[in-house]
Amino acid sequence: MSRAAPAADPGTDPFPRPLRAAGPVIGTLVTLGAWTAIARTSGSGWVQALGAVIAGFLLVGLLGPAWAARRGHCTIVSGPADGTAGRPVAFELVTDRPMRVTPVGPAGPAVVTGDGPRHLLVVVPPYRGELVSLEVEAASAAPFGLLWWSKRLTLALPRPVLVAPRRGDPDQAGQSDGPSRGDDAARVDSRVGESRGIREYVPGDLRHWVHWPATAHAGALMVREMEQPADRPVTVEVVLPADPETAERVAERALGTVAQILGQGRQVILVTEERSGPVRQPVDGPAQAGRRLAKAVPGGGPWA
Amino acid sequence: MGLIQAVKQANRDGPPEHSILFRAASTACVVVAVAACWAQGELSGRLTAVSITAIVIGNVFSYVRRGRSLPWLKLILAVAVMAAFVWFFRTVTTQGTAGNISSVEGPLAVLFTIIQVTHAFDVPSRRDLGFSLAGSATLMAVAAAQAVSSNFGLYVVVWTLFGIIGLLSMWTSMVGGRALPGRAFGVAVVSVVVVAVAVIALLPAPHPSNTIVFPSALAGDSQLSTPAALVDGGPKGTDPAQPASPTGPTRVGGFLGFAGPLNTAIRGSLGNQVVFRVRAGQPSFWVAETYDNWNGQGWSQTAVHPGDPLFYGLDVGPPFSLPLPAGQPPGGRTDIQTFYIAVTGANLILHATTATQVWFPASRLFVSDDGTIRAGTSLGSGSIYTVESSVDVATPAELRAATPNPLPGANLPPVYVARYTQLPHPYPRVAALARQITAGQPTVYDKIGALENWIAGHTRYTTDIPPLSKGQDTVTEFLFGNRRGYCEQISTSLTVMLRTLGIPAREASGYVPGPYNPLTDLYEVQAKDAHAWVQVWFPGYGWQNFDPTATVPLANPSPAAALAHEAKGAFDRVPKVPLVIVLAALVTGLAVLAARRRIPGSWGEAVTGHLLRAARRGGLSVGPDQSLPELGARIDALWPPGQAPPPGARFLADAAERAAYGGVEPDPATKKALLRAARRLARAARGRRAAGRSADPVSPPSGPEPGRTTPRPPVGAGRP
Repeated sequence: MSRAAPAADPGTDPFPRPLRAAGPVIGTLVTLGAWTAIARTSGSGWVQALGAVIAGFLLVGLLGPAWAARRGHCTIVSGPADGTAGRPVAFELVTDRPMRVTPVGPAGPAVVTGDGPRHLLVVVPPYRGELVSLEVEAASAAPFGLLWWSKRLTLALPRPVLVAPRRGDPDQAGQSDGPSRGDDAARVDSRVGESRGIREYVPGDLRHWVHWPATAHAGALMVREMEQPADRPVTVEVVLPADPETAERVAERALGTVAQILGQGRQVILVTEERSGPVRQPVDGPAQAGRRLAKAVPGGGPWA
Repeated sequence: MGLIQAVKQANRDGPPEHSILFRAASTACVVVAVAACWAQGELSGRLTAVSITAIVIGNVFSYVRRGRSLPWLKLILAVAVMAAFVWFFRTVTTQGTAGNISSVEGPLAVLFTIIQVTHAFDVPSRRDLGFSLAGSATLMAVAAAQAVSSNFGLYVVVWTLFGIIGLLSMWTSMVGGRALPGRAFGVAVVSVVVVAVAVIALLPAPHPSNTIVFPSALAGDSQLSTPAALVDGGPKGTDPAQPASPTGPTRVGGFLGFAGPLNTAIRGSLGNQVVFRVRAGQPSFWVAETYDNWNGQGWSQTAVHPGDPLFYGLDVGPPFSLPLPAGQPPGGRTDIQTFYIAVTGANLILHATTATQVWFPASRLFVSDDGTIRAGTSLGSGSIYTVESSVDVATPAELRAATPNPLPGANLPPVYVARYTQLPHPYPRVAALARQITAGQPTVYDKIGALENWIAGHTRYTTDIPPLSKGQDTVTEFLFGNRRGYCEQISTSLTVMLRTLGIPAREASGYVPGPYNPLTDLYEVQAKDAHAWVQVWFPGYGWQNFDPTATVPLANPSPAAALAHEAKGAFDRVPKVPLVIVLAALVTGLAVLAARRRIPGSWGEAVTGHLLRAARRGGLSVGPDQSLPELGARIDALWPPGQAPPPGARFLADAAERAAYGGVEPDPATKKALLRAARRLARAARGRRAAGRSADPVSPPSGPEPGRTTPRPPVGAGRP
């Protein structure tokens, strides 16, 4: 995936390499050797002339693709802004000649581009992250299809693709349960919510919530019961460890957690560590959370 | 994996090939190869017609059934191929000659053709079509092994073109394309031709192996009524040789040299018809006859002893081992020459300097003691024979050392000395002239050189000489009369001058090597290559060739005439048919490419083409992400503001873009005017390169092209 790509070199590997060359090369040598032997045994000039034509076919067929692959250009002209790890992402690829383009970072199915300049190049990013380029193997066997020569290209994307992590299982243990804990209520602004009834006092309730007339009427300490605020934010802090695999799992769990909380109609403040520093901002949906998690880097800590 | 499974795996049908062009091209390759075998006489006309029909039908069948395999069909085809192999081995073991490749090539062509026919019915996939292409190459090789004419080049060229089309369409099919790319076709043709020419030029010419039986065959082999008699052609090749006369038959290409005695008083009209072809390791004079007896106007052969037969038969062969001519040293370097007779002619077996072995398909040959060889049959067109000749050519130093004056004729029996210094009369003027010219020359070799130099300086070459009248002496007339003549007068004069000095010499007739054809690896000898030259005896080296004609300048030469002569000679040596075909193919290809470039698809494309040309001439880089109006603005910036040729590149670009993408085209008159303006703009941009660099408002001032090498920020969140 692009995260491992050299940062400052979206250019090309200028020297194509032959792919599985042993068979064609040995076949060519055997053919030309046998042909030379026949020409010299028969003493016929036309056999030798025909052998020269065959040599022309074989040499052009074996070496021509190197030239074609060397000269071939690929460009990504458009693509999505978002993606999800493990799910295909399609880009629009333009080539200046027929080639076989195989994405290798992230991987994807090969595309052959003989029927026009524009094609869909599909990759499947295995991890979350910010995808700014693709690594591809651009191969050509032109003009005769006898041997493939391939070069590795790093194709810059027209805009970065933020690859969200997969949605993992939500982290139940880390979620706070505001209404059942009086301590939590202490942190809520008293002006938040509206009174909807009376209930018995539970430890932790604020003193000014006590409803004295009802207390007098019931003979027990009664407090006003308040509506929970609909946008009461839940803070989710994501601390990614240095180990990439573990970090990926943490991010997946974080996205699952955020999605679940958001699904409950509650607001989430997502705290992540990005390259520019800690970011603490609310997220309004799983997609935005995925983008934030895509940009998250290891580091940070509780309430960093 | 077991063996059977491995075989099954290898023979499993590949994915069906849908490209009709690929299939058609590979079929055409096979058809051309079969036709080439027919043209070389390896396949009968009926078998060829049936095979070609079956191959075409088979490929159509394979295309129709390409998605559905037929196991029973494979079985039938396998049985057919096995039957063909059985037939082949039976034929070869009963009719073939061990080591004789020629005896195998016919059955081999039939076998390969049958294989191609059966294969044609089961070529569903790309791999199968590739096998068809490779098989056609093998079939072409079988045909090429028999080809000696340049006309075979036509088959090679056509097969090559279809092969290129086939391989290109295979590649196009591999990448999902539909149309054959015209530019790639042109590049492929040029590349293959360049590599092929380079390989032909760099590789040494093939030489026949010494382990095989050399080719020999007879065509129209009518037995002669008098076996050792000389015949000089005619319709059946059996007409007896007649003394030449101005009104007599001129036979092969108009050459009278083999018409019995060599009459120097008359001359036929030589043509440029190819009379035979020679495959040889090195060029040489192709010797037909030598003459010992000079009568003042003509040469003839005589027996060593009066009353003896001139020729005696050799009955052990082929190959026939020839005795060395008297005094000829044994051993030395040899060379193999195979002669392919193109025109029925004299029954003389040609050879290089001294023949030692002859492969000739007859039970008897006739040889004279001077090394002249005659066949007992006619030599019709298509006859082939092979000769091993001694080709030792001594160096000047060796020849000088071999004959320190006065030892001419050493190692030569006296009877031969007398024979090869014979003169019809004393030639006092000639002898005096020869002595005067060679005075002070220490060796025979130097004497010959001096005489050649004198002839070169005092005579002129021309074929335009009047016939000698009866009683006139050719040598006297040539040396002291008009001093004009051709090879017969010139060589005869040198021979007679040498004989007046007591140096054994004789007249030889035959052919010069002729132009070499690099494609066929053959010397193509024409009638006009007939020649006469001198052979001089050197002790220890035998008869050595000297050609005084080579140094004699043309009569009344002029630079223009000499140049024209050289140019014509060079042109004549070029094989015409392949050259014309290749040139025609190249011209056609270039014309198609030029036409395709010249005819833009639409008015918008034409204007865009001019704008791109203007950008290129102005030194502007055009990126793939640049829009046409942006490019127009950059082109306008090549000029100071307001000075760009009207209406300006931006205006033209907007119009082209509207036409191309909006479907809004100007009226015809406006289109014409704008196109003219775009052309003018492209021309005017030629000198704006320097200005373009400083005034380019869009392109980056320096650094890599956007989108390809622009540095990007690091990526990889969450990964070290």
